[in-house]
Amino acid sequence: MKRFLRKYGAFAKGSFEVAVMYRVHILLWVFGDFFSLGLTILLWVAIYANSPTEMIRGFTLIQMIFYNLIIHLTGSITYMSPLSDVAEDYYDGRISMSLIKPASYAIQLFFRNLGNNLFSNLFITLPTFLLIAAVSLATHQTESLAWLSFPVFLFSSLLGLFINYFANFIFSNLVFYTDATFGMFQLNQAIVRIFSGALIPLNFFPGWLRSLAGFLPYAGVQYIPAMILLGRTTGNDLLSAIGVQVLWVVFLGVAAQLVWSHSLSRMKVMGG
Amino acid sequence: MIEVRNLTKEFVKYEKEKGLKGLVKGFFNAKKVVKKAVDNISFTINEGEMVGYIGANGAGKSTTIKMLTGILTPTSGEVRIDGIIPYQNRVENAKKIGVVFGQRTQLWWDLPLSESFLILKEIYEMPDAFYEEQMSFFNRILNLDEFIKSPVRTLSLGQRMRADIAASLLHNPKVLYLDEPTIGLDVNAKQRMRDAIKMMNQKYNTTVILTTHDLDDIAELCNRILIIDNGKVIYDGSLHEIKEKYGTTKRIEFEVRDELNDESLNLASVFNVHPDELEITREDKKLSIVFPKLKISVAQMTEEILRRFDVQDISIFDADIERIVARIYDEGKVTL
Ligand SMILES: Nc1ncnc2c1ncn2[C@@H]1O[C@H](COP(=O)(O)OP(=O)(O)O)[C@@H](O)[C@H]1O
Ligand SMILES: [Mg+2]
Repeated sequence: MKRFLRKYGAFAKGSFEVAVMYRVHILLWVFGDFFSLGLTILLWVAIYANSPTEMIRGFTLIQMIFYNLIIHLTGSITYMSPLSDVAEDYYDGRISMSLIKPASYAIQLFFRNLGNNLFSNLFITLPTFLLIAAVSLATHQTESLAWLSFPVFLFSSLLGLFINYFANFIFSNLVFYTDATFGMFQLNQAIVRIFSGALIPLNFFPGWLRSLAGFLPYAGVQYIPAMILLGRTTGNDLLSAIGVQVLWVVFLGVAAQLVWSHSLSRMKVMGG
Repeated sequence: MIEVRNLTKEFVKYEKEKGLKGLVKGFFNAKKVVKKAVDNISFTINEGEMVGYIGANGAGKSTTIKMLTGILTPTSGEVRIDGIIPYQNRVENAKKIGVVFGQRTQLWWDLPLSESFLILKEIYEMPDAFYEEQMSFFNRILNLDEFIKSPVRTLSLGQRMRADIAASLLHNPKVLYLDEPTIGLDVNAKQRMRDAIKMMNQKYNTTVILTTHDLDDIAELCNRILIIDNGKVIYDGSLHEIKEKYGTTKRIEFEVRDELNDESLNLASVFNVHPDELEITREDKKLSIVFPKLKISVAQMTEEILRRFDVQDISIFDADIERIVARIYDEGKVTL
C-alpha cells in the first residue's frame, strides 16, 4: 500500500505542481466559480420572494442557501474531470507516453486528477467551508446543519469522489470508439449536473425523474453527502445511503476496468 | 530476448467521399479500407544486440515498436519480450523497457526538468542510492546540469532529447526502443545521443532497437539491420553484408589543379559501359565519379583521370548506405 501510494502519488504531485504553476489562471476560474454560486443564491432569494409559501418542498430560504453552499462544497471535494485528459491524451497521441509506464492508466489518471483535486480543495473547499461556518453563525442557524455528522459527511464525499471519477472515466472511453466526443461530453456534463443535485435538490423532481435518478450513480456524488451534512438523512437511511454509495463504487470500479481493457485491446494510437 | 512471430497489424479506415454528398453517404455506408501496417513479420533479437530498424515513411516501423512496447495489440501473431507478452502484460513489461519517441516527450512539459526525474524515480520505485548514481552518470554523459532547473517547455530540441533519453534510461531498462531519436537534431546533439546509447549498451548490455532516417546512426551503433517496406521485413542481416551485395559502386573524388571546364569526359565509351551506370559531378576543382566496381577497377579509373588532368589529391569511397538503401527501396526486395 505504501509502495502503491509512493508510486502513484508521484502523478498527483506532478499535476499539483502544474496547477500551482498556473495558479493565476486557476484562481480566475475559482473566482468565476464563486461568482456563479452567488448568482444561484440570488436566484433562490428571488424565487422565495415571489413564493406564496415560506417553505418550498421542505426547504426554507435559509435552508436552500445552505443546500447550495453545501452542494458547492461537495462539488469541490469530489472534483474529478478525467474526460478532457483522456480526450487530449488520445487525440494528440500522448497516451503512448502513459502506456509505456509500469502503471495502470486509469490509476495514473486518477492520481493526476487528485493533484488538481487537492488544489481545488485548497482554493474552493476551504473558503466554502469557512463561508458556511460564517453564514451559519451570522444567521444563528447552527441547527440547520448536522455538525456531528461531519466525519460521516467527509467519508460519504470521499465515496462520491470515487463514483465521480469512475463514472467520468467510463464515459471518457467513448473517445476510443467515436470522433464525435465534444457534444457527448457536453451531454455528460448536463446529465451529471442535473442528477447529482448540483442544479436543484433531487426531491424537486417529479416522481418519474426521481426514479430515474435512483438508477444513476450521480446522486451518490454530491446529493447524498450534502443531505447528510444538512441533517436530512439520518439513522437507518444514512446507513443505506452510504451502502448505496459503496455499491456504486464497487460496481463502477469493476466496470471501469472492463471498459478500459476493451478500449486498450482495440486502441489505435495517433502519430509516429 | 525479443521474439516476434508472424506479427500483423491491420488498421481499418472508413474512407469518405468528398463534399456534402460524400458526407451524407459516408454517414450511412462509408467504404471500409483495411491497411496492413505490419504484415506477417518475424525476427528474434538477442540480449545486448543493437538493431537498426529502417524503412521509408509509413513502412510500419512505429507500429511495430508500439506492439513491442505493449501500446498496441496486434491483429495476429505474437510478441514475447523475455517471455512476457507486452500487450497482455503491459505493466510488467514496462518495468523492463525504456522508450523514446522522437516526436514526443515523456517529461512534464510545464515543470522544471528535475521534477520529471523525481517523478520517474517514484514510478519505477528506484532506491535513493541507485537514483543518485544514475543521475550523476547521465549528468556526466549528457550534461543535464546545464538546464535541469528549467521548465521542459523552455528547452531546445537538443536539450529536450538529451533529457528524454536520460528519462528512458534512468531505471536501467533491459531493452531500449528508440523511434527516430535523432530527428531534427544538429550534428553535436546527435553525437551525444549516440554516445549515451553506446555507453549504456557497453555498461549494462542493454538491447537496443532503433528506427531512424539517419544512416550514420545505424553505421555507428548497429551491428544488425532490419529493413521494412510496406509492412514486410525485406532484409535482416548485417550492415556489412548488405554493403557487399548492394554496394556495387565505388566513388572516387579527384581534386585537380585547374578549374574544370564543361568538356565531355566521354568515360562511358572509354570503358564501354552504359552512360547511366556512371554518375559524374563537377564542382570548381572537384571531380567526383561513381562507377560500377565490378566493371571498372579503381586502378583503371584512376589511371584514366590522371592521364587527362593535373590531379592534386585523390580520395576513394565505398558506396554510401543511403545509396544502397534507396536502391533496396526501389527494388522492394532483397536478394542475397
Ligand atoms: N492509428 C492509425 N490509424 C490508421 N492508420 C494508421 C495508424 N497508425 C499508422 N497507420 C498507418 O500504418 C502505416 C504504418 O505507419 P507507421 O508504423 O507509423 O510507419 P513508420 O513509423 O514506418 O513511418 C501507415 O500507412 C500509416 O498511415
Ligand atoms: Mg514512425
